[in-house]
Amino acid sequence: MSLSPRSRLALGFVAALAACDDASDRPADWGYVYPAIVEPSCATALCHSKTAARAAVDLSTSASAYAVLVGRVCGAPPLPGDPIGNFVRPGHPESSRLMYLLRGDRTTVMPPDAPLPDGEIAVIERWILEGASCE
Amino acid sequence: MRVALIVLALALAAGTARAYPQLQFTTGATRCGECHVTPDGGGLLTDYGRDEAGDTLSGRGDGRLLHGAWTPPDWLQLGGDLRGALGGKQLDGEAAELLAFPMQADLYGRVAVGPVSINLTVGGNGAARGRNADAPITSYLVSREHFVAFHQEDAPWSVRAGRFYPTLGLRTHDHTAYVRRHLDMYLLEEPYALEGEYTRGRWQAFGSAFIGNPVPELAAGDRASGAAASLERLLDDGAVAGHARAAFGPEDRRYLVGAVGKRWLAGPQLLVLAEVDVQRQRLATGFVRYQLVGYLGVTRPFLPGYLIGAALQRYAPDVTFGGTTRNALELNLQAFPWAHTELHLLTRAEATGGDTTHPNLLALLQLHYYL
Repeated sequence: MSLSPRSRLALGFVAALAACDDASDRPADWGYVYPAIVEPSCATALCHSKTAARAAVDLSTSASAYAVLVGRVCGAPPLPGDPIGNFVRPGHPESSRLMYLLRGDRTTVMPPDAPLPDGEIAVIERWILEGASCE
Repeated sequence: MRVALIVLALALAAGTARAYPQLQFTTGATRCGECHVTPDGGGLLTDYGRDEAGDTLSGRGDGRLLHGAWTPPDWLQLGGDLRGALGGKQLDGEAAELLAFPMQADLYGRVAVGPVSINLTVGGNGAARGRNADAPITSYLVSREHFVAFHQEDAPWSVRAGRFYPTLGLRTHDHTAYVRRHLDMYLLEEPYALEGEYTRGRWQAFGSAFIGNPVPELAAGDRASGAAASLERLLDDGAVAGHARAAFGPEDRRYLVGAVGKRWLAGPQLLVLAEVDVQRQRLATGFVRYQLVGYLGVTRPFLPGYLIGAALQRYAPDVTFGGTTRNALELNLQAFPWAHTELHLLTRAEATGGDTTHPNLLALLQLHYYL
């Protein structure tokens, strides 16, 4: 039995939907983490946009978000000590405040209206674990 | 159970100047522009819309401005929306929180001289979880929409330029609906746009070009620029529409196609609303993912001035990435007991990442008064 092109396209779409990747299949780099997770979930107008910048956290651009979260400008050498706010300690997700916020672990969960799914949190965790570079 | 009182301002569900698609077909209107001064719906009501709101929807009271106490001159139209909410939420099985907050305080004005009109909204800007101490005074006020429109009476076309959402999709007033929240129509994400509209017979088309965030102080929406188009056809008992949008931002390029269906089932008195959207997002790094947003809802009017409805929503930020999908079941009860007033009870259970054991729960009673 041969399938029409339309049927093959539909089956391909269903197959693509069923082929569930996990967090390890997503790039754990800032070029993915920011536009795919941070920007749409956190840089909303009333929260961490440039104008609102709740808790002095401006996540409105890739550069500003990286500087706030990691505590240094992309490309600049690390500063001595922990970054301000201790949001991200490269290589150490277990002591990075961002992970506690995303999981609501002993603090208000972020984002407070729509917590991130575990899969996206896992990508961010792996990004931190692998050094939290801005590449 | 820990109960905390959270006072937010305009944070959770503040409607923008958008319409109630549930009222299309369930009242006497078949197009948004019959009840609203803009063809895409929302915001200021036409005289017919005010009559419908008072007579057909509520069945009691005078729907005119200030209940008919003062009639503005023909060139001026005024209106507004005031909303407050009480309720609670529970996230991921954690302790529940009590919510109480002012939700919306917007005033609308329209000055028309011949075919040209100037349209403006001014309102309070939200400040979820407090405002920075050094926030400028301008951060307390916001104009969600301001545009100049041109529409000659009885002409089949109109055009407008300014700040507003390009016409796309169901255009619900609930900004937390996935078809808004995840399609760049969340709170204060209105871009600056130029839009044309053309109506012929059963067809209505919209085409727009937009630029994102030219004035950051106005929180003017998405940082992307692009174009959108929408085409709707009225049916005997509903409507179908298709739409597309391309948006180009500093971090990605997004291409969206979607469809909307509206069907009024006269027998059981049910309005079915559906929307499905697929978006291709190409990140600057070259990574490509596909997103899916869906909405399926039914609404039934009962008694004069009451609507009851249920909706299923689905959002997959990356359709092949397991454990990231959001699904929501929503129940709504809306009462319009008198002209100018609305009580809206919204309840929603949301499962994130396929975890249905600890859904995010929300119950919100909204009190709404329109001028």
